[in-house]
Amino acid sequence: MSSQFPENVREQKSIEGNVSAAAGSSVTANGQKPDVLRLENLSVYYDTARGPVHAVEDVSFSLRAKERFGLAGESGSGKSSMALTIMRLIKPPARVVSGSIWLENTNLLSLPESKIKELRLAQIALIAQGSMNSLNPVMRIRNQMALALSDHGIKLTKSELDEKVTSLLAKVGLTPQVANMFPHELSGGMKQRVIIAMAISLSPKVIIADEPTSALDVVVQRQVMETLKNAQSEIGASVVLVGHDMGLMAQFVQRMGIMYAGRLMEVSPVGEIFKQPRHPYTQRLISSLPSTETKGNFIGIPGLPPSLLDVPTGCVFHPRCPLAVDRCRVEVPKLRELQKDLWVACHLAS
Amino acid sequence: MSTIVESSPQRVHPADQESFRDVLDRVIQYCKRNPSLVVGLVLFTLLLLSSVVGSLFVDLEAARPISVRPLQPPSWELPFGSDKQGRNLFAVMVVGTPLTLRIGLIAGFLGVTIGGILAFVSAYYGGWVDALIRGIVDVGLTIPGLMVLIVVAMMVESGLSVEQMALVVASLAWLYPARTIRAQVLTIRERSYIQIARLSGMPGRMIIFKEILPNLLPYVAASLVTSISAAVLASIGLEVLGLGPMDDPTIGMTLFWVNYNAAVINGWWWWWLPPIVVIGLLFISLFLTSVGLDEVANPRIRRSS
Amino acid sequence: MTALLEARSVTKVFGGGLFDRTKTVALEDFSMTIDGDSPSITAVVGESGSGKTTLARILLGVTSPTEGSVLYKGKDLRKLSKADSRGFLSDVQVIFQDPFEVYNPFYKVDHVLTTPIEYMNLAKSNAEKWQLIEQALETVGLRPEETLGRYPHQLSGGQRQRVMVARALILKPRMILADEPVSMIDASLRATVLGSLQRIKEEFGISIVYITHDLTTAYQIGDNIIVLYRGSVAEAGNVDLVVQKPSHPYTRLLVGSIPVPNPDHLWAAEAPPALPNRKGSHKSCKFADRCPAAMEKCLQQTPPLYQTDPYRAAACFLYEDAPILTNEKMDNVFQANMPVASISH
Repeated sequence: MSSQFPENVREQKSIEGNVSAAAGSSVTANGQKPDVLRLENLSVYYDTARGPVHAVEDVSFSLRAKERFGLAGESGSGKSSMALTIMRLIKPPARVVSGSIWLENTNLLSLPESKIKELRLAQIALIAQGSMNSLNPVMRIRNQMALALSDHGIKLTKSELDEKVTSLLAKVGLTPQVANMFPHELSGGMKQRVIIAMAISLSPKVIIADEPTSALDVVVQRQVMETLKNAQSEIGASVVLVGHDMGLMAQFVQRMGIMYAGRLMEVSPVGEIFKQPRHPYTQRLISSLPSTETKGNFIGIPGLPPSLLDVPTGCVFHPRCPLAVDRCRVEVPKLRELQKDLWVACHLAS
Repeated sequence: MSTIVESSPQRVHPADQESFRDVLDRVIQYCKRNPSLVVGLVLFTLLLLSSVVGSLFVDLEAARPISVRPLQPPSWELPFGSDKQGRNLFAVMVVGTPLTLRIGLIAGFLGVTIGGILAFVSAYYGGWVDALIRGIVDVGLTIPGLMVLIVVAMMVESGLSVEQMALVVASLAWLYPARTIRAQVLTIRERSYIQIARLSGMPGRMIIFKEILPNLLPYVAASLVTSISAAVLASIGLEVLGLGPMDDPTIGMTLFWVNYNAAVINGWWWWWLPPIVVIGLLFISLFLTSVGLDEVANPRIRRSS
Repeated sequence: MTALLEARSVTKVFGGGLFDRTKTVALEDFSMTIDGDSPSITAVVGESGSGKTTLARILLGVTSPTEGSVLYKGKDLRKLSKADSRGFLSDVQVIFQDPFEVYNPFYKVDHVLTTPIEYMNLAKSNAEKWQLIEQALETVGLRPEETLGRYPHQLSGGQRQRVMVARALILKPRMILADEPVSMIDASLRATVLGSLQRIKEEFGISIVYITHDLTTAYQIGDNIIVLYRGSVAEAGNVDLVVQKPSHPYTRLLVGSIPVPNPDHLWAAEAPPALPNRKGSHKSCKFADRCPAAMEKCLQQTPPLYQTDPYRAAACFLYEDAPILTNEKMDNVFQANMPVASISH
């Protein structure tokens, strides 16, 4: 199906013409890895009785090959809606209002459902929030893994299957015996690693991990994240880590986007986000993070996130932004590249 | 303490002043989202209204036997015709619909009230009280209700009045509400806000009335409607079997006479059609109302569908 | 002097009934004293299964211990007179994890604030009642006119949780038990809740038992810390000591697993050891099967608490040269508002 050659991707892109630049998009030829996934002007609304909820508004960014990208935001920032939209798992009352999602040179949003089913897992896999609880309780791990493979038309003999399952489990640090177990015999961390093994079973190009460790203890969380990191680099996939835990982002990703009220505020390398955040929201978010490195730090962000039914005009953050000027109240700031690789949606950033 | 509690302390906040409009607005908004509740209630009201309005146009005495010429098909004077005993069937419908509803309402209200009280006592206090009530309900629900009703109705040799009929039906109508409301109270009792109320010094009975009951009202209303329709159904069942009030022209008794005189086979369609239509409308309205109330009580149903 | 609240050698076992052969020891031989006169914030940190929730329920008297007892002003919680249990209600208050479930959806937020005043007779008049409420809200940094008259869903998680802090304040307790108060609140609003807890300790002298799975927030607001592992105390003491220089291998593992929000301070390259499944006798140290430092002795005996520093104790044989501290005396390593200078020993 989709072409494996980056040259073609670039050609395809130039055919599309002048779409608004996706943050981090690698149009340059200076040795940067090509994009595997590109979102362009994506908007997702939820229809409610009180009007449309602007869950995702005009989001563009791109994911490079073999990259770990973080999508961080607080509750209601639209990050999970975005993850579901990329997987084409979004259901009414939610609807995609505009935009496109390019997986290499295929627009996921224009594919028929049957094609999407083939693509899921094979090209783009999801590790959903609490997915460890989605394992079938009355089925051995091996059979569940085999089912995922056979659903995608991969027929294996019994010995081939055993070999495949063993190697997948090894990739996530589990012993072959796990294949014979039932989910209830495994701890939460082990179950989540089984989920990762299933997610990488067809070597997808993109793995979307939506709060993959939200129900796990810190020690196990660390093990699972390291497992995911190893598996990702082994199969050469890109990962989008969706979550609210900035600590986890700092530990795991290379580049990240900060979401607020459905919009991307900033897309930068992780070091820049934490050390020199450019957007006023990111700055305040970073300084509100408690840490074991400094003590006595109780600076929250005053005010509340806006209702997504009634989004403020101009910059969505302006009601809480101490730096806001008149322009911020009327004009929506576009995400623009401040410096190489630093994308910020703020009129004042320079 | 009581003085403060009872003086219903309401300081006027800006939010309070607009609350009435707010509530009205929200009710209208809500009705748009919950058409089954609206349609159900409107249908039910129409049914009641038509029997009120109808009573202005017809001599209600004509619902008794030998009031008019028997077995007349519908005409201007007899819109629904007449039956073999000479009842004006229009008058029968106008008198019978509220009678049947009365049985349903009395039995339904009694059932939900008794069942509800037992459910609250059982769920809130637990222990042996709960075990006893639950035991009775569980056993009671395994016995086929109509059979018990038939036995009870047959024991009253002089025949039942409408009110007695309602009591007979109510005698079993509390079982189901008791079980379902108890389950609801149990889940609410575990909510943190109940614990917060307890930690605020609120005594047990006040917790029932102020914290649990308000949240259960839509649910209780939904189970009331369910009980009413179950009671109507049970009463019609008994009456068709000839165990109802012989002197009163309820819907069920009309069907009994239809059956007794083999009206269907004889082609006297005007005799059986109106009661069937009235029963149909009644059940549709009650069903829609209860579906609508279910949505109020459990918004998750709406979200998932 | 009798302490405000005292847990004495409390053990809680679940299961083990007639048909249930699996016994779970949720909390074992735990002692702790909250004297109520010298206010402090004690953080109880543990992962799921550590017994921290059981401890909270036992301290509140919601669950009775299997062994040992909890004393309120020297009287057993299970045998309080009516007057004493009212006293307990006003002295010991609680803040729950879920800032939504604690609100009855039927009422405005005012309801949780007026209820304690009405039922505990805290105000003589309506005016006094609202004055109390407004004061409490202002203390936790909320503007009354923006808070009262609203429904819970119209406030953010952080605001809802601060209203709960205000509610507790109204009762003028001497101690507040906060059970994971910020774990369901967004990071940018967490600080406001933690700040209000810190403030009520300092301004009103209210002791706080802060139960959490999150070492970072425990470090931020705690004076003292107790690290629980599978129902037993692994390490206890001054929070700076324990978090900055953990001594128990389990605390080290916990501290090392914190995802620090600093990309320059990554997790150590080496993954924590996978579970080697070393089964010791039932008396073994509970952490022995995961411990990189486990010795033969650890599989045979339960380590007692050793007082490794003046303000720290660890239940680990690595420190067996240090003096043994019995569980009942664990509090000896705690100190209220200890000046930072005294940490180094």
